[in-house]
Amino acid sequence: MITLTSSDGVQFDVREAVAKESQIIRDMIQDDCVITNIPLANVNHKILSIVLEYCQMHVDKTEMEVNASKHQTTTGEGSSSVPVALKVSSNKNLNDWDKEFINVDLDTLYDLILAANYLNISGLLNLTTQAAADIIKGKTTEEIRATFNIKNDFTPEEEAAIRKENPWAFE
Amino acid sequence: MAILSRFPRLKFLLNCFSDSGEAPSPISLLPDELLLKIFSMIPPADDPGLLPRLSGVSRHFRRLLHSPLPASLSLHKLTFCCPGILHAGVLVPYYPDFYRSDHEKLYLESSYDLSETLDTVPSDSSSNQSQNFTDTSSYEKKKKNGRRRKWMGPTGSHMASGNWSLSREQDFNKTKVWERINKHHNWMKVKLNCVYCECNEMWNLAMGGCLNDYSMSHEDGLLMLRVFVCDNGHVSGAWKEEKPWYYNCAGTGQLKMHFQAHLTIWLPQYVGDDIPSKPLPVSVKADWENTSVPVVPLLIEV
Repeated sequence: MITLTSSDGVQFDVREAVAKESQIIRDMIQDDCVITNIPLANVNHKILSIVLEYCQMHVDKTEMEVNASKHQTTTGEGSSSVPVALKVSSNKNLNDWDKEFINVDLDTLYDLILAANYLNISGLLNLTTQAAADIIKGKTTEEIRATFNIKNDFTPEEEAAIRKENPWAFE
Repeated sequence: MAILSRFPRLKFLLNCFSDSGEAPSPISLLPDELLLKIFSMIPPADDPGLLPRLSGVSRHFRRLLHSPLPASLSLHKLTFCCPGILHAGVLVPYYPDFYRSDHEKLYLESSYDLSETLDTVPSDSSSNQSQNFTDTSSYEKKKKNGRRRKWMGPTGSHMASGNWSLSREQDFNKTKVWERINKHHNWMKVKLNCVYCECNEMWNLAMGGCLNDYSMSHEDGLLMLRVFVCDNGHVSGAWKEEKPWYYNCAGTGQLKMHFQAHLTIWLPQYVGDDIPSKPLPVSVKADWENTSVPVVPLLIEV
């Protein structure tokens, strides 16, 4: 087990495999085999618990697949079609779980993006940035400003010039 | 307000508040690299007008999208700036091997950037033609200013210039690029219809650049920018690819100059209802001061 300590001092005991979902922790462990307590100065306990939930789920799913595959090999049943089907089903479930998991408010999404970037968890970073991209997609300039409370700091002339550059994009 | 200019940080924080007085969503305050990653997560086909709209959200977003972009987002930008890239069906990550002959290596002498180009674009096309192969004023200017820059050939020699008109792209056959590709009769032409005119063959042009600053040869290969251009100079597709060549980089200086320079491709603007595909061929990379330039340049950062 490895202990991860959040920026506000809360400790989380997790399996090594779960912690190793983070590239940065993986590197730390490889560099120093006896490491057991890792302080994470940039992630508070609320976000760290969500991140660990993601890591736990993905590790569990991977292990489940590996075990199922091993079981299949040892019992020698049937062809390879069963594990593939299992994997597809598993991936589908995991994707559904990811979609449900990432259904969070904007502030949490922001913290998760930063945490995923800091901990270098590529899957979570892709998931969170994709979620942010989905929020932006298809929105007009005004809707993007409204969604993120961004101030329009252009002068009316500048704004008109921007629209004139690419009128089709604003239709 | 004058006092704010003495405290830029305070001014920044005040500017962070929206019209409604609420704090902006922290998402919009993410580091630039993460914002760009978010922007690049949207496939251009899903929302081709996203980048122009994003660049109109705020000054911060506009600055961000007008700075050199990572490769993925440059490609994103290309795909909506070049309608032909989707329409002509040429968007492939690696080009088929049989096109990779030595003859296709045309290193466009694009050693200038946008600002330099705009400085030197003459006001009418006739004066440009006389300057095409002789004008070294830009080089002389830089020499006077004490900046060392290797002379890469006549500035503006293969750029469309002057006031844009329906016939202006046809001056392409007076440019140095056209001259060079016609001297070498083996330059590859591909059977593709131009999306802007009735040409049914496209020149298959490529620009190469060295990825490595120091080694004489390297494993990264040669980064190629490939462009399909018709006889009238219409660009119907452009993309980047990496060639798995062990390229001898002797004379790297010259190649590096190519590589560090912006390759500027001039795209014709929307001229009628007969262009078959949306989005339209315009670029987000237009400067405030230069919005009057009729043909908007697309800068590809390689």
